[in-house]
Amino acid sequence: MSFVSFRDVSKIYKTGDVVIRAVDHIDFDIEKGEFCVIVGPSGAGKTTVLNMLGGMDSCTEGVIEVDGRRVSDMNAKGLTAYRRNDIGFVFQFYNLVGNLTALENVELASQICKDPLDAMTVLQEVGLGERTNNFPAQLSGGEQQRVAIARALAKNPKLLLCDEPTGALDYVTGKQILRLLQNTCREKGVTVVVITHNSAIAPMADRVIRIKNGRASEIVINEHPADVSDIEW
Amino acid sequence: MKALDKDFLREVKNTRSRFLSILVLAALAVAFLSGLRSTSPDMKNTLDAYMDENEFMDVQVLSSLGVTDDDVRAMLERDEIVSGEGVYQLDAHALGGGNDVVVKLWSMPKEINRISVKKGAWPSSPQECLVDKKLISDLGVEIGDSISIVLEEGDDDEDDAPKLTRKDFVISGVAASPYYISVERGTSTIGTGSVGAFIYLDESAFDMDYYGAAFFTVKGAKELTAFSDEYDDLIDSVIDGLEDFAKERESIRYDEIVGKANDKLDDAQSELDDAKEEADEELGKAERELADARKELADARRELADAVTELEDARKELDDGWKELADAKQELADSIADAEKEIADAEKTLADALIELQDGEKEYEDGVRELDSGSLELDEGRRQLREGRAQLEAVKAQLDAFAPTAAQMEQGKLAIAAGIAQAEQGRAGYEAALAVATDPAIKMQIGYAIAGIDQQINGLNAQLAEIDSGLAQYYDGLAEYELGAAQLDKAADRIKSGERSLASGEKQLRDARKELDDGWKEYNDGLEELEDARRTLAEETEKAEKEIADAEKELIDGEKEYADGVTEYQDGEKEYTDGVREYLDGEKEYEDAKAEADEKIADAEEKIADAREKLGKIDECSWYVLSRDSNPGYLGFGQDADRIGRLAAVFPLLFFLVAALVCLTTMTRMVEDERTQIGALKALGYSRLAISKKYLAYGALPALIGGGLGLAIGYWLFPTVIFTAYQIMYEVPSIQIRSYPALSAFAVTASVACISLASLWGCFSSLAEVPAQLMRPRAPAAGKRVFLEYIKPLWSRMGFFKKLTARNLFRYKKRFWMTIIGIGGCTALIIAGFGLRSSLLATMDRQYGDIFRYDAMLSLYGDPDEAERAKIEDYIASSGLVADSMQIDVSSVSCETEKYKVGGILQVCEGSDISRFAELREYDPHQGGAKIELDDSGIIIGEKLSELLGVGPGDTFVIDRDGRYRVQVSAVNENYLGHYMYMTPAYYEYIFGEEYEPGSYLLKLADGSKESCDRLFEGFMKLDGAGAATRIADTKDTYIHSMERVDIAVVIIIISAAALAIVVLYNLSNINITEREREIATIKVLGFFDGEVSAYIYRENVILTIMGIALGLVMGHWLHVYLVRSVEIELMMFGRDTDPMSYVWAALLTVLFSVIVNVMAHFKMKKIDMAASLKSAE
Repeated sequence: MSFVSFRDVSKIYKTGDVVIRAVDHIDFDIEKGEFCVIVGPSGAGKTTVLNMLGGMDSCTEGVIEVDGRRVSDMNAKGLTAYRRNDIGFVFQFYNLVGNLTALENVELASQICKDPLDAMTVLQEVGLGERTNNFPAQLSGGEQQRVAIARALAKNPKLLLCDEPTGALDYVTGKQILRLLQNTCREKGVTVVVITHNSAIAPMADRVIRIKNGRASEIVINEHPADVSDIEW
Repeated sequence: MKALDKDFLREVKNTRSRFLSILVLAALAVAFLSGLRSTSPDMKNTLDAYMDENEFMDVQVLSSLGVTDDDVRAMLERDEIVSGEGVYQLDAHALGGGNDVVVKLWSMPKEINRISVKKGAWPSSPQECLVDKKLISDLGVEIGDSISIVLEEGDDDEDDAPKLTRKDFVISGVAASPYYISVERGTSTIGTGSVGAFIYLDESAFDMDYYGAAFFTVKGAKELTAFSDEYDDLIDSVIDGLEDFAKERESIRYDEIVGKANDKLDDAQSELDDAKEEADEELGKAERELADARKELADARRELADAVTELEDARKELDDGWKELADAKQELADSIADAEKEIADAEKTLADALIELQDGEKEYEDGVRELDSGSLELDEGRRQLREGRAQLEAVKAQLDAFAPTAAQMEQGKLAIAAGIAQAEQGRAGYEAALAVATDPAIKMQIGYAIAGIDQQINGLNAQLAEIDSGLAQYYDGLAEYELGAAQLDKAADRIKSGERSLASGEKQLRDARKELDDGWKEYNDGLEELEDARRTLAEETEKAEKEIADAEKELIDGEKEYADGVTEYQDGEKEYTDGVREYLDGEKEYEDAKAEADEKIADAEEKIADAREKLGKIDECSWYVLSRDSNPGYLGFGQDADRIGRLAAVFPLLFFLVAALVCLTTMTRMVEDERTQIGALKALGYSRLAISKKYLAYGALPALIGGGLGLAIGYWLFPTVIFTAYQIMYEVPSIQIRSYPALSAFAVTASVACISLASLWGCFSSLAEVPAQLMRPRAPAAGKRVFLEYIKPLWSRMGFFKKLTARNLFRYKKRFWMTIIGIGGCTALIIAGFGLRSSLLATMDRQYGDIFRYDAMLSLYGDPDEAERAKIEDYIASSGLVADSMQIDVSSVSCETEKYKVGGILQVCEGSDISRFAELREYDPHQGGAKIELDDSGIIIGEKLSELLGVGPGDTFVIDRDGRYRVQVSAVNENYLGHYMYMTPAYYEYIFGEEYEPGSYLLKLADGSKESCDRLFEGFMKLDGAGAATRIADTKDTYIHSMERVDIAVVIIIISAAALAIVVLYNLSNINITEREREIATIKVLGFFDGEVSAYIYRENVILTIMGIALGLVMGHWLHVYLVRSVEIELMMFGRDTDPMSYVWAALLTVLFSVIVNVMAHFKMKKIDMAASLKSAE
């Protein structure tokens, strides 16, 4: 049994008479500790998949299981608890709370979950030991994204979900963030799922899931994932 | 349709709630502003229409000496006066239904101040009248009942003649008068000093030679609105213009009055003289009567003495009587014995007489027998005589029978002789004739006649011979007869002598007989007499015995009479002593009467002298030409309208401000939300104007619609509701709602402008930036450390979320203030509303609960004398219903300083008494002010009066009460309703220089129940001198009722404020959520449960709400104080302290609203789509 499994999962949006199949009978698995990249063009249904995986959205059909638990059957409250204890999110636009310092942003997450990591330690780990008392506005994009990652990691999640984490960052910073994510995966054994439209990132992943028109068009297992520094785009 | 227009419509559609909230805010603000602002002019216009319709006076003329017909006519001749009339007016008591109310009597108005009949009908006869509805309720009578009017004798009224032609009137209906639109009925010169009700009588009911007032309308005034400056200016100028005219009329009237008064004085003088004379006469009469009484007493004394003598005489007489009676009894016995003896003698005599009589009888019978034989002899002789005589008689009769024949024969002899002579003469004639006769026939005939005559002579001769033989026989008879007769006569004589002796015997016998008869008769008489004597004796004895018995009875009666006489005498003596006492009393009375009369005369003389002096001092007649402001109803109504106007001046602005503030926030937020879109549009090349048009329209459209709606609601709701409440206090027709273009324009423009400008401001600040910048997410507001962080010990101890909340609060300063002010404003409005309400009610509770501690008040009526007062006091003390009572004098006066002039109620009583019946204390609502003692140092006045007059302790002001008196304020006390003043009798006498005479009682009941109060009052009704009795609880109820109506205005304010609060809170919460949607989504993603998410936001809301409420409490207090002062009426001080419950209610309501709004927000937050919110760039 895989750590994450999507079985025949569909997501259908109905707006009036228009039926949009954002995800159409998708099937894939992700093993524990893998660095997985979901790649595909805009509108392919990547984010929908991630949202369903992260418990931010529920599927219309099919079965989603994470670590042996059926996420697809959970109610709103169950999903919230799932997000709270099992999932870490990193967004393209960081989504830090502007009124909280870096440390406090991390604490915002760590204070509510069962088995948090020390916020300060996590910040030091992401290389922001010096900037803990800065407000997001005082931080650069990369730094903000690090805070976001630290916030996600501090919860000690089973799954770290990243939605275009480099989308708003420049090449170098983006690479740094990717490295951080890869290291986290390698060193901490956290299962990381990254969504991107940038195929260039795919080589660094243990598993690459290509999505096209709401379906997994190709699933590739990299026996030898490339190092971040080897990747260029 | 252009793309931008579509965008606008969709925007509206998609943000309905925001659009609607702006619309509602605009509607509320405009409704409140237009509604409250239009109320005052609506009220004034309504009254103006009512006044115009009824030809309400523009000016009224009063004169200290009355207004005359001439005055009215003279006024009407003036150009500026359109119409006018004089009316009679009197103060009087109306009695009916067992009650007594002081009333103002008016003659029925004709043209000016027209009245209307509210119930019942117009009077159909002069006996009918129209009355005040207050009279109906105060007297407890119905239409159709009859009432009596009693005038109080005016003391300095020169006119003693009755001023009314009749006393009793039937109520035909209830009238409403423009002159009396308020409950105020004015002051009076009688009773307690205030008029309770009005009555309209037919003009003919008055018998007065001057009017009480004259009312006029002024040219051009009708066209102007009442209370307006133009109107006031016109009337002022008219009144100024009348100044000289008034002077002229004054002097005319003065001269007239003085002349009249002089005449009257002279009359009074002569009347006095008459009275004096009369008094003298009467006293003289009384004196004479006393003298008579004295004389009578002396007579009585004498009579009494006589009575004593009489009684003694009577005693003696009685004793004599008894003695006489005894004698009489003895005498009677003696006389009976004598009589019996006499009778016995008489019986014996009678027996002797009987024997004698019987002898006499025998003798008599012998005599009779003798006589009878003599008589027989005599009878024989007589028979012989009688026979002889009868023979003689027969001869005689023959003779006598032949006597005439003899006479005739004698005569015949003569006649025959004559005949022979004649026949021989005839024959000689014939023989001569024969000798001459030749004719044979004739000779033959003569021959025959001579032969016939010869024959005749032969016959005659024969006859003559016969006669002579008859005669000779006759003469022989005669001679015989003469012889027989003589013999007879001799026999007759013999008989006659026999007869004579017989007759004497007979006579003797007759005498004897007579003697015998007499003897018999005497004997019989004697017998009879004896019988009589016996009977008489018996009768007399009986009679005498009866007489004696009578006499004895009489004596016994006499004794009784005597005893009565003694009693009578004693009574008489008593009567006499009484008479003496009476006389002495009479004498004393006389002395008293004399003294009194002297005094009275002296008084009257003095009065006349005074009157003369007064006459000399008669004030110049003064004319008062007064405007409508002299009418308390009109003035009060205007003041009330102004008060609402003042309320409308600030209150709606605050309302408006809050609404505008919230709209501003909303619009600013909206523009900021659409920043990127603005950027995009700008980048596309749309002009600033085109872009900003959407936001302008988005603001202006709901403002316009809401404004229109607000106008419609406001113009109708507020004036109607508030005016309806005022209709409780004023008798005026229903309000005429109007719209005011300027006000409408102002309100709508203001709301549109506020909101549009707010959106423009937001727009322009955004539009100033370059598109590139706009399209990028706005640099997030820098997180800042708040000052709390520098207080390390505190900050480090704060929980994470608290820190977060603190930072959030201080970070969004604009939102912070907007929210706090918004919430605070609403809270303040609610507090002001509740505060106003509690102030109104507290006024009553404090006045009648804390300050007045008595249950009832009794006014005396008609100046009762000592005895009547004592009776009333007895009743109060003995009824068992009254726990405590005190005497007090209550009168209406006018208080004046240079600053103000106002009517008040002067209460005069002992300080030690009043402290039990009223709580006199300084005004300090929070701690309850220090107690004030009423002493002789001055007058205590109420807080409000003190404010109005601008005087405090130690200051002086003037009391106008039949003269001006300056009094000193000793203290100011807490008082809410009416202007009560307190002073001691000593100070009273010091100030007014007249004797204190309490006219009322304050009563505390043993148990305050209405039943026992009613019982007590019923008792008063039966007492002379007891007038109106009032139960304080009733008065309080009446006021509370009217206050409850006014409550409606306050309830409107509360509801409006509450509505505003809800909209504001909802809007603010909405903005808060929209603004922080991303943050909320983030924490949701982080795994915050719904409750935790809400709590995260609520924490701030709660703090903001609390701070808002805190600010609101402070603002509310000031707003309330301001409002209370601006709506206070002259007669009342409202509770100026805000009732703690007002704060509690306001806070609770605000909390409730924010809970409701937060619950709504909770669901809104739940609906936030994390994925969608987080995906987009900011």
